[in-house]
Amino acid sequence: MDAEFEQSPHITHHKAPRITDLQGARSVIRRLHDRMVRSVVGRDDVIDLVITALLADGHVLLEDFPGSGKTTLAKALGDCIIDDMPDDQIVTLRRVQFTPDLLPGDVTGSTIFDPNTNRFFFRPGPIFAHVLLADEINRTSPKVQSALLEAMAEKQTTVDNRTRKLDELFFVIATQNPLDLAGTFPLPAAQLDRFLFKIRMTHIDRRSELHLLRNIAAVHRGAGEEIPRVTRTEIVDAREVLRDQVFVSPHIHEALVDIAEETRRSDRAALGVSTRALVLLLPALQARALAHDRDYVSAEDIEALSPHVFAHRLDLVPGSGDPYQVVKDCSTKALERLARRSLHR
Amino acid sequence: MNTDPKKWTISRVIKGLRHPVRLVLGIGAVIAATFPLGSALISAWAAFGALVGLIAGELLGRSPLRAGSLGLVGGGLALLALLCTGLCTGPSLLSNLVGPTLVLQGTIALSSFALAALPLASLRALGTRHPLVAVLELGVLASLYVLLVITHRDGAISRPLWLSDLTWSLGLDPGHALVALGAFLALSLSGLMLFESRNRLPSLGTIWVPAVVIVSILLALWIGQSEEPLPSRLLDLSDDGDEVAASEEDSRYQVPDPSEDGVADGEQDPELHGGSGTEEPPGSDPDNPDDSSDGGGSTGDEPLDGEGSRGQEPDDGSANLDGSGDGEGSPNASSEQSPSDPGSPDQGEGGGSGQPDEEEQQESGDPSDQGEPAGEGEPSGEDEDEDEDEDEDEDEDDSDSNPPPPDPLEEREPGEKAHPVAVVLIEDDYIPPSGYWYFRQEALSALAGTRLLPSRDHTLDPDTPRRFPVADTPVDGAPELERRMKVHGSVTLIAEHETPFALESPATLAPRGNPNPIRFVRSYSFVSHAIQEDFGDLVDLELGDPDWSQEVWQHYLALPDDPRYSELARSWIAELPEAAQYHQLAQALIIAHRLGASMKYSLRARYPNAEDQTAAFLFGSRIGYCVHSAHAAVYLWRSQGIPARVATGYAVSEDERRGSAIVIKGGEAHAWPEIHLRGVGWVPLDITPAEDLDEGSDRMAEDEADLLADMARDPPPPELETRTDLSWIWRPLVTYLAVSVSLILLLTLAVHYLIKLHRLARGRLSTSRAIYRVGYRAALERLAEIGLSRRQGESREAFARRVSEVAPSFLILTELHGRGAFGPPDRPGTERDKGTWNTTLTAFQRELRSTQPWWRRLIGRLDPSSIYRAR
Repeated sequence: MDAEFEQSPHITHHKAPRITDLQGARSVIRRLHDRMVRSVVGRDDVIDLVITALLADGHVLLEDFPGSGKTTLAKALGDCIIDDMPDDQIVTLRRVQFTPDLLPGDVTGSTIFDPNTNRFFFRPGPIFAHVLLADEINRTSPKVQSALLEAMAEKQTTVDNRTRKLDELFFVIATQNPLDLAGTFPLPAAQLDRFLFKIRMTHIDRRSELHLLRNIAAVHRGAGEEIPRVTRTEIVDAREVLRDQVFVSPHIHEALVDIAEETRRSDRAALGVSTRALVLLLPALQARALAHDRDYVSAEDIEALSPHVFAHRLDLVPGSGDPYQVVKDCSTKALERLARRSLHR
Repeated sequence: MNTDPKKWTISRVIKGLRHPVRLVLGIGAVIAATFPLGSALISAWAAFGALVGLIAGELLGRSPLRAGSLGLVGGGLALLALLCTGLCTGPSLLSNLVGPTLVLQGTIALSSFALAALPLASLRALGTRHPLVAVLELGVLASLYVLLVITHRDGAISRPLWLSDLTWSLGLDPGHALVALGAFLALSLSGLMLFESRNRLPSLGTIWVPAVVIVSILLALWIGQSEEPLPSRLLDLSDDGDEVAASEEDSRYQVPDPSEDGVADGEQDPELHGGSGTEEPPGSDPDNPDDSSDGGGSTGDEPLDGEGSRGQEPDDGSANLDGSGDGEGSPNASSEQSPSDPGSPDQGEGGGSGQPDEEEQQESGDPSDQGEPAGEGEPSGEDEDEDEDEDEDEDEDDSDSNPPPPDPLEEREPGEKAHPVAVVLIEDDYIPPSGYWYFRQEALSALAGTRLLPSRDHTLDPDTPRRFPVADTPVDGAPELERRMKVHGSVTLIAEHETPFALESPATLAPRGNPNPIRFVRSYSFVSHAIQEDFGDLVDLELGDPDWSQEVWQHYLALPDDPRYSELARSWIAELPEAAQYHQLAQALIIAHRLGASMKYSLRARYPNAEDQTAAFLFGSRIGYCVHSAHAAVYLWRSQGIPARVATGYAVSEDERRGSAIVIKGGEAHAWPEIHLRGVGWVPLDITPAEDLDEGSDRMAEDEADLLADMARDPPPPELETRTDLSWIWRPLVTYLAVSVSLILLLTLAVHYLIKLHRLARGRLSTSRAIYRVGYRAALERLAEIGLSRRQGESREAFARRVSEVAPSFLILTELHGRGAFGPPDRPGTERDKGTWNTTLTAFQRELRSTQPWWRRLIGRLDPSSIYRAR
């Protein structure tokens, strides 16, 4: 309806063929990966995690210093996705800079009186997007946070007592600054629990940084334009496919439960990981397995993903040190057992 | 994981039992190991140490301490304990304060406590951490219990005497008690292993622990077997009805033990009594725990003996029960007495020594006994002393001139005359000119009233050493080598003697290792200057020694104040040709000859009422034995101014020599007169009786004599040279431990190699369905051999990437393995899969071969520990 959208490369009316097998899902991942790697330099691991979360229907919380490429990453992701349902008023990418004086309506949208028709109509907020970049989420008030978090969990939002569905592809990339905590509202554990991954980004390495500086022009121009994008439907289909078709062995299930129990038993964590974490982790494992050309989840997937999934869900006893290390310690035993079992019947 | 603490199911209760069971096992093991040391203090403190150690180990194991620091703490404590004991035992303030005894006991208590507590604590602590150590712990506990059955060798099943004594005192059969103990051990060990399975006890352990137990039991029974006194061999020899050997076994060596057998036999197997020598496999009957050599022998003996001494039918089976009852004394007391009971000949008890063999001899002896010496006025009250007359006799009036050494004759039954008391090995080519081998033990030269005694003055007769040698000891007063030759030899005592003896005249005595400590009492070697010429060649020599002082001359010329000696001597000398009448050696020879020609030999001669027995013999019937004749000869010589003395010891006929060995029997104890020749020293001049009134002496079985000689020839076990008091327990223990530890190590090594071989081989031979894991394990094994193994916490894929520099194919193998292990199960392995596996494995091996030097692969192949690193 908006002319601007009509001409955007992010919109198509052409329906791509539905994805029904792992090959198709794999190609979705590859395309996403290839494009993002071009436009975001030196963040390959984060890109992988973000794609995994996207396909696992989870949300990510990036924790990094300003200027480390969070927004670039989010924009690159949004740039990869084509909206093939342009009529639903849902755009590909929205960004909200969270501030203390933000109101829930600023996120969810609000009803506005139209003097022409003398009626109230609903004006969708930025939440009605495929990819929402929620910058500095800990700077806003809990009220706004909770509004966002409802949307994240339920894929719906309630404005003026009317519940509106969000799109099936609703992916939140929230960021927060690990320093500069004055005047912030840290997310409580229950809300952190809604994020599939909390990814701690570090400064990119020297070579990548040099590469970035040398090729800054090309990056601005939009590198990787030649690589085909993926449509929103493809992503949704790929989610279905990998959930159904990537095999998870009972041994893997057992190892996951072992790890969870270990975190609950550990005297370094006051609160172990929740069952929801395990439920959320499962598709992430499948997505990662597929990203590594496997049709089964392997022990390596657990090892790679469990820190990002579990670390922010642990309520650590003061002085326990690095939560990543705690998760690693808790999972080592279960993974060793898994490895041993893989050599036996 | 049991997260619900309220759930008190039976299995939880049983699981909770594992700690008390382990405590009981541990304490019992320590007691079993320390009890033979014979100190209640050590046992008690060791048991306490085990208790504390196990509890501390369990607690430490659960603490967050690292294994390394646990080891450090343990080592530090051990050092501290050592330091404490070291400090305390020295002359310190502490010992001044509380007294040395208390300090000594304290250190013993402390060290036994520490020795028990620290290993158990560290084993337990590490055992809670690592299942392999838990297996090791169980193995150690089990093998401590095996120490109990060490004494079972030879089938002496009721052997740990303290155990069987205890059970008897409780009114139980030790066989039952042992079976119960074994059952308890098996149950609790297997129970503990089941409990450990929670910690994923390696399946290796379920085989390993029983294997260790079985192997160590076999070892315990096998080691030390070589030191056995070979009772079975002797038994075999005596199978043809001659049971002397068997009885000797019982009596002398006390191989088997207890009276229980006697009781058990008497009550349960009366039919056994008749046929004593039947071999039954040891352990075939737990109720009758002893082996046949013991049980059969003793039970067979006693009834026979009891009857035989009463002159009744020796083979009457009907009297057996009574007989056995008599022989035993009271069954209740038997547990105390029994160890010596079967061997009672030594004790002179009525029940002891009868064998069919001796039986006959005894019976044959009876008539002559009653027919003769009773007439001498012997109080005939003592039936059983028939053949001990001579001792009797001397006990009454001449006890100190008792010719034979105390043990062989005094405490021995008559039949024991054939009993070997010593084995002499002669190493030089020497044959005594007189035809008799004289082994002098004592010299009787001091006149006391009417008899001769050993002189109190040690400067007289210094050529009879009075102590057994502990080092090379020259004998004072040994004669020069004039007309004598050096003869080397050794004496190995079977019966205990108070003083040493050697071939006359010993010049040097030296200790010698006991070739068989169980059979022989002790052994020593000698160098003797043995007389080389007969008296015929010695006539040129004068008697006595001009260097002797007046006192010495008087000492060797003293005789009872009785003119008859001189008269008789002169009357005999008068028979000499005129020219020889003043030749002292000729006088001595004619007196010896006349005396021998006119006397009759009988061991039963008794002169109990005579004041001077020698006079009673010489001027009476002249019936007597060596003591009488020796004394008579000495008094006759002395009356003519010929220095003389009586020597006692053994005299063995040259005919009895068996090659280089002379087996001395109790009956060969002898007393003979000696004269002193100038420059040559004391020379035996024996009296040969004209007539022997006694029956022929019993000969020992030749086989047995040969066997004894062979055993005495055995080189002594070297470590016995420095044997200390406790060596009898430490030596077998150390051997046992060393051999069992090395065998266990070997066994473990073999198991490791088997596992390794199995893994490598199965990589090729497996079915296609299992190829993913066995093939992968074979690959892991090969990588571990060259030192590449997955680190703890490292994923297989990461490991594969690390290895891919060496062997890129491993990446493929890893992927194939992951697919097999975690992939969908509905895709069964196909032959094609197996083909892929095999080709990839081959490629992998080729890569390894090309990148790794051959020696590295060889070393890896020989390394048994790779099975732990292949993970």
